[in-house]
Amino acid sequence: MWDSWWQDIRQAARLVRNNPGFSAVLIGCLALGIGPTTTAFSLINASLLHAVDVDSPETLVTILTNRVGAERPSEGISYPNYVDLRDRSTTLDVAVAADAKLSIRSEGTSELAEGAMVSPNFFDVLGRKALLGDVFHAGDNDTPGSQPVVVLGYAYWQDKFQGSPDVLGKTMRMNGHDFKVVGVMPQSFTGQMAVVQPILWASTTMLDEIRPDIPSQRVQRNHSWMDPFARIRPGASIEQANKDLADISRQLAAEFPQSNEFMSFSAAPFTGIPVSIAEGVGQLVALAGVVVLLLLLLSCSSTAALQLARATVRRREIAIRMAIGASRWRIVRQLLVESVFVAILAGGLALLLTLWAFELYKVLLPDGPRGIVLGSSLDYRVLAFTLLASVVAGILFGLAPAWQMSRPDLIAPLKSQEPGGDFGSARVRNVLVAAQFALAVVLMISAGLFVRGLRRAQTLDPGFETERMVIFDTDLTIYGYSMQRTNQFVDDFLKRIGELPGVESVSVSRFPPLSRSSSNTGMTPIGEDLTAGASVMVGLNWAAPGYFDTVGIPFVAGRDFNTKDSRLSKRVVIINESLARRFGGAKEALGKMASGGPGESVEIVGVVKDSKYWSFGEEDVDFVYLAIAQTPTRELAFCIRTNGDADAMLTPIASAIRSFNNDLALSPLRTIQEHTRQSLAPARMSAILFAVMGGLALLLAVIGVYGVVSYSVTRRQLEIGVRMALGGQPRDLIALLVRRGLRLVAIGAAAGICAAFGVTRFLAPLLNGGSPTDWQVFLFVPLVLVAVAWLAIYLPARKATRVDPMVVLRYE
Amino acid sequence: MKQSTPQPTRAPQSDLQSRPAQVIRLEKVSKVFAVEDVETRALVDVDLTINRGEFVAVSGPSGCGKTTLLSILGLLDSPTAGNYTLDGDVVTTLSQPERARLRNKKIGFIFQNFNLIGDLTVEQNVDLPLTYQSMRKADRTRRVQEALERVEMSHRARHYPSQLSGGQQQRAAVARVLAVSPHILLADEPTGNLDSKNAESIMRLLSTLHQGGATICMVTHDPRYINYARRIVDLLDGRVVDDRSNAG
Ligand SMILES: Nc1ncnc2c1ncn2[C@@H]1O[C@H](COP(=O)(O)OP(=O)(O)OP(=O)(O)O)[C@@H](O)[C@H]1O
Ligand SMILES: [Mg+2]
Repeated sequence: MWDSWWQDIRQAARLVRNNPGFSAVLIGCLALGIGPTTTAFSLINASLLHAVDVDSPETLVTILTNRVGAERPSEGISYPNYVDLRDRSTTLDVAVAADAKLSIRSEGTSELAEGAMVSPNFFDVLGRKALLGDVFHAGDNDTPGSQPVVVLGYAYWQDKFQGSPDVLGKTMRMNGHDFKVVGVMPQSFTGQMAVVQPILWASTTMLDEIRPDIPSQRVQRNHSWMDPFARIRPGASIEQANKDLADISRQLAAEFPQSNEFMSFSAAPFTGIPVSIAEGVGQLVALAGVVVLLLLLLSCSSTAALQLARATVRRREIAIRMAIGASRWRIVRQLLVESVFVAILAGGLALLLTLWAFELYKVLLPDGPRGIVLGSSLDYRVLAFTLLASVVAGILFGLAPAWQMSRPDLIAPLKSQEPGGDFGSARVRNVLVAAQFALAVVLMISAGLFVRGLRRAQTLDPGFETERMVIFDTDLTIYGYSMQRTNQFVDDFLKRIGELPGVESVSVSRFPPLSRSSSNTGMTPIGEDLTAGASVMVGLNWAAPGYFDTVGIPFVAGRDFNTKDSRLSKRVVIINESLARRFGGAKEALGKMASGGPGESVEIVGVVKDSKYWSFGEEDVDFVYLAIAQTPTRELAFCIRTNGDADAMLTPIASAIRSFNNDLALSPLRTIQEHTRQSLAPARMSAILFAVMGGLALLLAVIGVYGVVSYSVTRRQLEIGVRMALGGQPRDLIALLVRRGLRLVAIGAAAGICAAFGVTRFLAPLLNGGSPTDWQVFLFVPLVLVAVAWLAIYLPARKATRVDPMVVLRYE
Repeated sequence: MKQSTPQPTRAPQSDLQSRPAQVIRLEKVSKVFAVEDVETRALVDVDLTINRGEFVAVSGPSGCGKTTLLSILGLLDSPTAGNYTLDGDVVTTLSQPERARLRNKKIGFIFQNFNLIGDLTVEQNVDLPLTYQSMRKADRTRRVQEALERVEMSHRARHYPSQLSGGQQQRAAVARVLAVSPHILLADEPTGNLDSKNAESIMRLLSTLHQGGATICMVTHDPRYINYARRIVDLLDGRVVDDRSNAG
């Protein structure tokens, strides 16, 4: 029994050894398909499946909030609710963590960074100690403002302090307050979350210093902004913990019905992946899975086509095996062992590709201030997965050829006449080749649409100045600025920068044009002629006088904000044309009232032209500008219109800001071109991704036809020889082969175009307003592909001319 | 049987009248195969002249160079040394495309293993050399039909080679030659894979062709069929050792 398997394996090895060229192509082709699969798995394994560096994760739980009416539980708890859970639970030691936007001052400048704010018991609950110095503890003084200390993340320590132990005791000025470095955590420690290592951890006792934007957060129960987790106390079980949490939830609901009535807490096993992103991550993993699976299928079908081409050459061997009594199953088994053997070799190669891609990925990671902690690229899970993927690939690509080759057709090969020699496999092979091109066409058309969308975005008029403008946005809360200091800063900024030579004008809003962060609200027109409840969702921005001039958004009707629009005067808004149409036109809208938004009723005093607010692809948006003086904010976006080249003004503007303010980080200072480029980044990434995959698909498809054609030349030696003996000219023979090959490619391309019509409409939202059925892309891409395919057919077909016509006299 | 080529040819001397009596002339033709370090002298200083309308049989023991000789005559291979004159033109150093054109126009082949193309029906196989002559479709169809009738294969026109017996396949191969009616016919053991009954019928077909005026050069070592030839050339170790006429 095992003997015969062993025999099959030896036969498979022999086959590879005896056909090194063909085997190399097979293995390479398969590796291109298995490689992306194992790379994707390895990345997922290293980032999601590898254990978070905490003590005994099995006794840790994530605490979820269940809201009546919500589809699923969410993470997030308010500070007072956390405190109550911590104090009342008898089964759990509860801790919390939250992101903290930080401005860190060093050497006279500031930089922006993301850190974490955690409860004092954070490290104790996770069960990790400092690498250097100490962490803060639950027992330490808990009173607000009592722990002006931080524990550094390893990557930040290496980066900013060159890993020096002298860092202990140093003072860091953060968000306008001084903090002392008391410890450094080990390299693998990322806190309660996998992969991303915060630059530092500060204590929640310093809440008011670090997040001064929400002064009431120590008492506000309905602002759930922290992530809670807990350690189950020795002797307790997760069921007891859940019962405990349910009891506390009930108490809280009774005590604080306003915030807690429809809310309860529960414990779920700890994973290191927050529930809030788990769904997104899941979708991403699913998408990646579909894509790599497609590539795997593609490479299997390419190799299957090659294998089928070879099938013809081996038919005599197989016919003889069957003639001497091998069963069909036995033949299929042998052929499958052969293909799995080849696939495992390919898996080995894929593993090398994976290790290489993994290193590349690490290099390509954006080097922000946070450290990224990944598991190792290769472990037993990756090995097992590669083996599995290889075996599956081997069976996938081997099955069709094996089935074909084992068809009991004993007579034909034993006849002295060489039959067409297609072994009935031609049709399957042709379908495979055509399908590959169809897939390549779909992927490449998608890539083409992204590129067109990007080009369109670059030429599209977004409705604001796109060249001579510099943007500087900042959030003064994280610098510890009061509202009064903020006003002083804005005044200084507008005055000092406005005086700068080369600056035409300067103004301020809350968000810059084409902003990713933004706000919107429901708005209901008030008026006798409007039906009740005609509330519309509107986008919101806050603007100062002169903003529209500076940014280059023209007025259609009415007036700009002015200095008389203050907190004491009537609330006024400026709306865009789209919204004005709902009021019956720009002129008609003036003087109308509306309610909703962040305040009582407002009066429309101006109408401006539409522009793009969030992305190039957006449709007409109803938009409202509030007067920044009437609703003050510490989130500010300064827009600086320059006389000439915006790039040249960056340095003068930066030093001008430095001259009157030393607090702010200048990293957000950028030209409008840079700013819009950032907003196109997702589309650019998608274009690259699709192009890479389309390219890979094309490569596989090309290998497929190349292999098929070059095999068919070898296989048809005799036929070609006969044609030559009868006077066929070499170029006729080439033309014949090219015609046969191109017909398949053309069918595949046509099918691909049809499929693309169906698929690309799902990409529409990502195309920056480009059409998902752009005819130029649909025409051009398939043409290029056919041209490439023509080459892949022509080159091996040319070998036909090298066939020695002598074969007709000497063919075995 | 008509000798004129089916289409107007470029050179006037290829007309029937002006064509030299010597169709084939080999002068000191040698062929050496070098495989790695081993040199095989397949043909040594062969002088051979074949006149129009001759029926020559080439025989000799296995490995003596018969197939090599035929391949050189058929322009499938070129000699290592010596000169080959075909229809008065020196053809020793022609390019591939020119050889292909000459083969198509002047030379027909019949092979031991038939060499029909498996993908094509009998009809299409017979049609194949005609398609290389850019002949009108109607003319081709007519010629194919005539040729198949002459070999009594009309009823198998739509069959594929793998659906035929050996004898039928060889008759189809002969039809492929008949359709072009080349004036030189080269055959390498045409009866080698056939039983005596089928072999006889093929030989009779060759005779008819010969009587129609074709020049035939046939390799065989079967004494039964040698006698169809009027002249017998014996080869041994690549040399012509005997060249005699045969009364029949
Ligand atoms: N391509 C080649 N490479 C090397 N040697 C060759 C080649 N073709 C033929 N030969 C050698 O040339 C010699 C003549 O071969 P050829 O095929 O002409 O013999 P033959 O008379 O046709 O034999 P048979 O009656 O067996 O068909 C043989 O020794 C053969 O081994
Ligand atoms: Mg021979």
